[in-house]
Amino acid sequence: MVTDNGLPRRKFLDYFLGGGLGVLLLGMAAPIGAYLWPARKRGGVQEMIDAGRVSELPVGSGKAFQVGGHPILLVRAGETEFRAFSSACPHLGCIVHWDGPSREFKCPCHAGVFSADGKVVSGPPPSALIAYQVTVTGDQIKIKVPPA
Amino acid sequence: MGNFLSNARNKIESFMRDRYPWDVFTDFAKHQAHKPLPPHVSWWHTFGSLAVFLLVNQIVTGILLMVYYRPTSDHAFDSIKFIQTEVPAGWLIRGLHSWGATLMIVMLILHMIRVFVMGSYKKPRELTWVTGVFLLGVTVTFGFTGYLLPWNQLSYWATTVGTEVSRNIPVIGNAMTVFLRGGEGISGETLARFYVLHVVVLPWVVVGLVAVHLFLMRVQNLATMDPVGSAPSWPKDQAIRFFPEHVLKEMSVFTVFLGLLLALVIFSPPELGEPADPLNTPAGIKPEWYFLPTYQLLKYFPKTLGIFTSMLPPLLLLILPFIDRSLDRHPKRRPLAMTLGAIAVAASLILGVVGKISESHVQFLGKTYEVDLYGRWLAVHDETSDTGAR
Repeated sequence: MVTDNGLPRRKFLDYFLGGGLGVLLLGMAAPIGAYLWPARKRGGVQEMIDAGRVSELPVGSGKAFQVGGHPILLVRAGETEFRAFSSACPHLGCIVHWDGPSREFKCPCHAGVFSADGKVVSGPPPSALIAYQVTVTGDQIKIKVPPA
Repeated sequence: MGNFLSNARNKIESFMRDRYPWDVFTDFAKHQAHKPLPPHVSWWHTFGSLAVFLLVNQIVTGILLMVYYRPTSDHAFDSIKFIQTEVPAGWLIRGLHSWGATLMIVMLILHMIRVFVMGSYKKPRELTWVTGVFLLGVTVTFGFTGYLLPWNQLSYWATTVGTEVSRNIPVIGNAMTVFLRGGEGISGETLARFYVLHVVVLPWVVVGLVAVHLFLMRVQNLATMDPVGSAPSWPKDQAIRFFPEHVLKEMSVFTVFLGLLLALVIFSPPELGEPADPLNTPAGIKPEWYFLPTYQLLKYFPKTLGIFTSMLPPLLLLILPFIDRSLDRHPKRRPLAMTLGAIAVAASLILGVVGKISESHVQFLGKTYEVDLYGRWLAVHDETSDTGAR
């Protein structure tokens, strides 16, 4: 039997059932995809956090800590010079460390070197370290960090 | 006792025959067991069976490890330590799983080299080869996901570096990395994802692929060395029966191999190292040996170009039967293919060795050299410097 537009009934049913099944599978895939997308993907606004006291951080030293999964390195490059960076190397994510005597950040993975202001000095890193805003109020150091 | 077993067998057969086409099953099994194989089938043809044996080893030891393993960032390391030091025979089960994973990749590579040299990937067995390449890919993914599970320093940072590489894929790289990790960085969520992939998703994929691979292999039988399209030239009376001749050969290799596997577990047990510390990257982080050639290759190319360059070898492997259309199978009549194959193997070995010794100090002919990121050797004059490859 043929429908009004010339499509055989059997073929029409095949298309209808096949299309319906496709739509059903797509409908099921959508919540699965949403479920698998990281539930704690970072969002929201930056916040100021306490990063310690000035008196605890001698000139030339650094302090490593984590905020909301972000590795952060706070360094006191001079008497009143405080800087904070993401300590994840922009090359492949290894943790850079602060080398006080040379006043540089060094990556242990592929010998990447960054200056005290986070810029690439040598090695394969494609960009500078991500810098965070540091505010010093009296003896208190605060850093504006990415949302957790 | 014999009578009892015979009666039991007859009863089972009678039960099955009343309900199912039992003779179809038994005839199929007999046909498969006594299938004649080409006379050139040799010891080289046992690598594939050894890979299957290792797959069974991985499944059995993997299930046993799951009894005590806890896939959370707080407990993963301690649970592996518990298996290794407290659970009776835990060291053996973990050792068999760890060494089994390494040897399985070795066997797959040897099997693929054998198939390449004997030209067995050519028509009509292209799809058998393609499923084999996918099997290698899935096995390597098994290794990558399993490597993180002990949650030690080495596994944590090797996974950090390994997943960070995928960020360089144009357009989708960043989203893919976040999806793979379950967040921006490696965390307990990454561990959970890798665990699910390792113990649930990949085993089904690998069992399905192995089933298709073996089905295709049995349906088409093993390739002879005759050119593509020509009728097999071996007389039927020279055929080797799968059972018992070839099975006996496989059992012999299997026995020796089992001894080797146990020796490796006993004399070179897998180390556990230090627990993962997200704030401290140890020096000299390297991926597992089978990723070393790619790891080194990526250093010579800019980000996106590096991704495409490292994808070329697996892609070439995948389409090999469709680009190599020559009819000859015998290696002596395929000088170009053999030369290119040898170059590919040599390049992989060289890149792997350079990757292994890069960023370390090496002592050679009484002198100490510092090997830099790219594998260049720079003489070190300081006698107090570190010696020997780290």
